[in-house]
Amino acid sequence: MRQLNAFIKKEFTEQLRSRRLYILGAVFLFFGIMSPAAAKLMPKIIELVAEQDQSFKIEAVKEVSALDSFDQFFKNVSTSLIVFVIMQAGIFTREYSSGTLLLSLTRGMERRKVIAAKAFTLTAVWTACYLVCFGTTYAYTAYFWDMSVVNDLWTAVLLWWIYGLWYIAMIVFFSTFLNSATAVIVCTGAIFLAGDLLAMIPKAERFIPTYLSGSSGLLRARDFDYTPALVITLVSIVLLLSASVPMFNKKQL
Amino acid sequence: MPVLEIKDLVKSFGDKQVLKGLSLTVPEKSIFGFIGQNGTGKTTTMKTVLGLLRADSGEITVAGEKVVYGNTPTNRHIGYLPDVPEFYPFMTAGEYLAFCGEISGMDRGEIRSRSEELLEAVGLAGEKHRIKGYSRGMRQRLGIAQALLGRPRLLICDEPTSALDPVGRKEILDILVRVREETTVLFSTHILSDVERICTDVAFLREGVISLGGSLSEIRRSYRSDIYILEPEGSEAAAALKAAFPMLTDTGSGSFTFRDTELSPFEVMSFAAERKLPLIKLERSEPTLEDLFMEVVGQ
Ligand SMILES: Nc1ncnc2c1ncn2[C@@H]1O[C@H](COP(=O)(O)OP(=O)(O)OP(=O)(O)O)[C@@H](O)[C@H]1O
Ligand SMILES: [Mg+2]
Repeated sequence: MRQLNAFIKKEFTEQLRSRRLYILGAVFLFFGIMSPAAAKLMPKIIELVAEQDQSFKIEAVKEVSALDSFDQFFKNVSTSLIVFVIMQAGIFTREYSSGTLLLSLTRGMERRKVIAAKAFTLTAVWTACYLVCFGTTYAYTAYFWDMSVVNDLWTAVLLWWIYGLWYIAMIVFFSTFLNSATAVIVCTGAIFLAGDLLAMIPKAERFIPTYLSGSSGLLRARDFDYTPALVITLVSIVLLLSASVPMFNKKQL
Repeated sequence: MPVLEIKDLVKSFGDKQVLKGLSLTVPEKSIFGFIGQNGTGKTTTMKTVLGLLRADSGEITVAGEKVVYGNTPTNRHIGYLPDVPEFYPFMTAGEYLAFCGEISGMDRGEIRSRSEELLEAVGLAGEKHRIKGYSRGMRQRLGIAQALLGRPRLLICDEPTSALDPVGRKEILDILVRVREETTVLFSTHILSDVERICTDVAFLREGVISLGGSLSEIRRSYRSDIYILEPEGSEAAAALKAAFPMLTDTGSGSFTFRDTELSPFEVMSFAAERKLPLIKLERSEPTLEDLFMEVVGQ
């Protein structure tokens, strides 16, 4: 337990002192503000454009609601997730190339605890950033608009958070056998693309983790059966993390 | 019982055999110089001892316990300084030692007192900057401190002096000499003068095996083909000596050298005495490790 605690503490010190945490926090905060702001300003922008350009004809400027703000949020949070993955993909590989991990391991640091500490840190950072982003959007939205039109916001938010965990599991898994952050990013991206491609098969779509990224459908009480994708995502997170341990044990450093 | 014993270690990378049956014994409380040119397999040997590489065959014991590949329990006896030591750049030296102590399960109070003591010993006490800004010498010194943290029986240093200037090298060598009182030191190098300065035992690694090894004084004794320097006075005496002993090597500065395997110094002395040839000096020079090494390599 002391080993794990010491390693987690070291990971957090690194997140803080490398400024990674601040940068991510700023990015997530920015998008948290941008979502309601964009929703608020959109009609004004459209009006402006329409005034200047007569050919730009608007059928009817629709009334902006809390739904638009949250739509923006779920769009923006995927951009934030990409930033998160890019910034955190090197969490293992940095230690391979510098040899810092090797020294810890010769001291008897257990490899599975290295995985546990890093997975925990990533989860904590993702959760904190996600909360900052959503919290900001939520506060502004609740202030500006009537929230009663929003259906099942919390499930949608939770599903998207789990969707983020799936990427963390992939970073961990790919890091146990790849040696560069770029390779980890490329493989994670490849899985995302593969998911997107598979989702073009109508029958398969519901079963693919990427389906969860459309959780905002819940806000409009649309027919959105997320259970199969959720189960598969959770199972694959567990599988990825548990496969990481033997993979990492085999890795020569 | 020797601290470290390696028997018939074989290790290949692909189809390239780097270690071809290396055997080595490091006696307790020695400073052991592990000498070899670049790419001969010093780092490979050390990493195998630490269980970081899997040996193809052979046996390694540390303090009588067998080394296994992976997380080997024998590492609790060992402090390790890798060839290019990299520590978490965002930590200070004190924080890093505390981290090392925590993961190796040391007692909290012991971590604190031992860290202070070691930072003092390696001249990093009161260093509040992060490791990021450290010079190479500072990193090596911190490396030795972290390796010694758990009071290991064996300190393994991979080329601790190679990247340093003469002052930095001397600092490291001095530290190694000082720690000898409490631990055995095995260090690799290709700088022979470093070995001569501090080692009690040496092993030359060459083509995958130890081509020469043992206590330095014994090696010196058994490889005693000492070199003599003969300096006659005047060119006449020089010419007479050279004529009588063609094996003399002219150094060009009015003196000759010869090996006692080729020519006995007594013969030279009696020859000079008979002819009353004036000599300025006839001197034995200790063979340097380099001479020994050249002799071994030349065989
Ligand atoms: N992981 C590896 N894969 C393939 N070959 C390797 C590997 N590690 C070492 N080698 C080869 O093994 C040989 C010995 O390498 P090693 O690093 O042990 O030498 P060394 O004596 O430490 O050299 P140096 O003085 O340069 O540090 C080298 O020829 C190297 O090319
Ligand atoms: Mg080396």
